[in-house]
Parts: sequence; structure tokens; C-alpha cells
Amino acid sequence: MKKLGAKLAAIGMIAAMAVGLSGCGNTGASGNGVVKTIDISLTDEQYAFGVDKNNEELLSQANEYITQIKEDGTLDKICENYFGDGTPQGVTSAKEDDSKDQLVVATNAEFSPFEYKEGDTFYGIDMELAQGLADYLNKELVILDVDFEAVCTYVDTGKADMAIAGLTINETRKESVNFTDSYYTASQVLIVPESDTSFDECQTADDVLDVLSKHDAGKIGGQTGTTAEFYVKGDADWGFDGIENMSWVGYTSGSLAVNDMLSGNIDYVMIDQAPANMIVKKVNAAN
Amino acid sequence: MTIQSLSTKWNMFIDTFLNKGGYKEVVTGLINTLIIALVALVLGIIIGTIIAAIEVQPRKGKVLDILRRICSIYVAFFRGTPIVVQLLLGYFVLLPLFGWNLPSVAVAIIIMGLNSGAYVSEIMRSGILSVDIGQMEAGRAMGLGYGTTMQKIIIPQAVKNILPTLGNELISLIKETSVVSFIGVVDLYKAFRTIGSGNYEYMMPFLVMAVIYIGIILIITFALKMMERGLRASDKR
Repeated sequence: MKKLGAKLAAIGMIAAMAVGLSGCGNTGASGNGVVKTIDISLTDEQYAFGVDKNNEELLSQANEYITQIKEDGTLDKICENYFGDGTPQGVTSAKEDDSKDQLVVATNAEFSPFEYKEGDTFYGIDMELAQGLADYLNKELVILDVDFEAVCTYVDTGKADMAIAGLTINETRKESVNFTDSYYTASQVLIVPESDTSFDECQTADDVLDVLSKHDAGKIGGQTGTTAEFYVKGDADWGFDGIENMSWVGYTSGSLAVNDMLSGNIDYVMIDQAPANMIVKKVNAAN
Repeated sequence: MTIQSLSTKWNMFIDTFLNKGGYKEVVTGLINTLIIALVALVLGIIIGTIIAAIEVQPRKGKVLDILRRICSIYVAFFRGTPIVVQLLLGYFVLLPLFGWNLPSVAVAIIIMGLNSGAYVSEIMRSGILSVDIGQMEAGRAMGLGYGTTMQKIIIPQAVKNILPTLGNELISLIKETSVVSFIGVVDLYKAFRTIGSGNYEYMMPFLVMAVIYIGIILIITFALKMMERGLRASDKR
């Protein structure tokens, strides 16, 4: 009797696996992938470095550096490594050592193309900028890879000198850090399932918001602590009204949010435009 | 989810793991996980033994009473709050408050050691109390002092009960290290998260991560069973 029970259980499990594996939900059968970006900018933001408030000197040096790389084309060249034909340059972090002259940068290396990690090497626009700044200051670069919402706290509590993490300038963050001049203009976009056609007619941000307001109550997900969170929830400091019938679901990274959207647990994902395009490319390739 | 997309995901994972240096992060994470767990266990045993000794003492006295009170508050706090809360409190509240600067691995070890100490003290206490009271009576009846009886008669017998439970504590610690990434330590979980975020594909990394955790625990459980068998040899049960 026991052996029969075991056999039945084994057959049952194999059957369940087979049912689970046979395509259900998104298969990207159209050949265009499973997700797409709605390429309409919903916001207008500026990225900058967040600098320790006690360090005026570092702030002015960082601003000098930013002005220089804008003028001599280095900034464009670095962006080309990720948006164009160039090759991403690897950046390594030194070990933290109080006896050495180091630039300690806090970031969240889950935000391609600005910062990401392969093995123990960092890549990304922000990472190459960090290395450039460290070289400019003749300091050794130390990179602390932490949760995004903790990045400014690290600078505020003195655990890091700067935060370089695709950080959008905003009033609340100014309470923890001083911002340098801006080095990149960014905006939020929506990532939606490939099969969703409700945004096809949209031309402007207002159109997108219009479509969302007519949607049934739903969920928009994304990375915790990012501009997207405040856009969906609404925030007086940022000047966002919030999206009324959409609630926010936070994840530790944008790609986890997209994976959850594919599982059907949330409706849409909101994230900065450059990472959105990277995520969509990779997720479509894997599905 | 088709078999084809599953194999694509697997290939992406293997590619990142082997060719793009993903294994380096995993090795770092594994080493950090094991070091934090082991050192925290040692710290926990030291703290736990001290606390247990204080609590088991039958002697009375003002000083001892105050010490006992401190011990109960300590144990209540560390058993009563989630480990994540303790880590965040230590790293983001206490450290900046006092202006100290410790690397996050050190903070993780200390907090987990303190946490472990609270649990280990209970393990020690119950181990000692589980030895038949007749043993203590016999020892005193033979003219041995309290301390000598403890040292030569009670504790060696208590150890047989304590060691396997300490092994369980080690297993607990290894599992608990999975939250140290909250304060910036690269542990096994964070290593696989980094691999996942590179490809925006988390299914395979998380699956492999789970397998590795299970593997570690199985190895330790096996070692514990061997040790228990050795201890039982003298029991003739």
C-alpha cells in the first residue's frame, strides 16, 4: 500500500509540473517579447551626486569635475559606452581603509545602465563617473553597494562621502545631502505587458495619466525609494499629485517588479527611462 | 513558462556565473555567511555561558540581583525583537549616534553574537538544569563545594545536552545571516541578487541560492548527527 501511495504521489507531482510548464500567460507569441516601454516621459528630472553636507570642499571639487567632463566630451563618451557603440569600462572598488585617502561612494548596483555589477566588477555610467572623479581628486575609489533607499542615509551618517546612484534632485533628499550640479536629464516611464494596447493612442504624459485614471483600481510597482514611488503615491515636496486609482508596490529592484508584473501580481511598472529600456530588452530575451 | 524559456534563463545564469565572474560574488557571499555565523556563535557561547552562570547561581546578594536583572532585560530584548530590527538599530541608529565607525561585517558579527548570546544562555541554563538534582546533592554530600561539583560533575553531563542544541543554534545563525545585506554586507543572498539584477532574471539565481543554503545545512546536520553518536557512546541507552 505504501509503495503504491509513493508511486501515485510521484506521478501526481510530475503531472503538476507538466501542467505548470505548459505555456500559460505571457509567451510573447507575437515574437515582440513580453513587455514593452511606453516611451512617453512622465516627469522631468535631473540626476546629481549627493555630497556629505559637512564637506563643502568635496562639493565644489565635484562641481568642477562635472563642468569639466561636460566641456571636454568625457561625459558624452561615457554615455556612448552604454547607449551607443562604446564598451562599458569595468570599475573596481578598493577595500575601505581609514589610513588611506579614499573617496567612498554609496550606490545601488541594481540600476543598469547607471550602475550594475558583474562578478566583483562594477559597470555603469555612474560608476565610470565615480572612477573619473576619484582619479580627478587623486583618491582611491571605494564603492558601497547598498539598498537604494539607504544611499542618502549612508552619506548623512558619514559612512560614505557621496551618493552616486542615478539620484534625482529633490527637496526631501536635500535634507540629507548637498547636491552637485546636474549631469543627466531623466524621466519616468511605464513598462507594460506587450499585449496591453490601452496606451497605443497616447502622445503625452497627460494622455497616459488619462488612460490610467480610466483603468480599474490597480497596482504599479517599482524600486522602493525612487522617484516612481513618489510619483504614484503623490508627494508635496516633489510636486506630484499621485495616481488616484493605482497603489504602489515597492521592490528592491526594478527588474523584480517587472518579473512580478509578468506573474500577474501587479499591473504596470514605473522606472527611469534608461533602465526601463535595458530591463525590457533583457526580460524579452529571457522569455 | 515554456521549457525553452527555462533553459534560456538557465543559460543566462550559467553565463553570468562562470563567464562574467558571478562565482566570485557567490564565493565572497559564502565566506561572509560562514564567518559571520561561526564568529557570532563563538561570541554567543561566551556571552551565553556568562549569563547562564549568573542566572543559575543559588546565592543571593545585591550585586547578583542587579546582574540578574540586567541579564533578563538583555535576553528579553534580543529574543523579543526581529534580527533585522537589531541590525538596523545598531548600524543606522546607535553607530551614528555615538559617532563610531565600524565596518558593516563587524557590526553584523557583533549584533548576531549578542542575539545568539541570548538564545545560548537559555540553552546553557536548560542544559545545566536538566542534570538530575541528585547529582548536585550527591556531590555536596561527598563534601565537594558548589563550584567543584558544578565543574567536575554537573557541567560535563550538561554538555551532552548542550552540544547538539548549540549545533541547532549554528544552523539558525546561518539562516539568519541572510538579512545582513540590510546593512550592506555581501552575503549569499545579496550575491545571487546581484547576479539576478545583471540579467534582470532572478528565477535561476534564487533557485541555486536555495539549493546552496540547503546543502550547507545538510552538511552541518550530518556532522551534528555524527557528533551526537559519539556523545551517546557513553550512555549505553
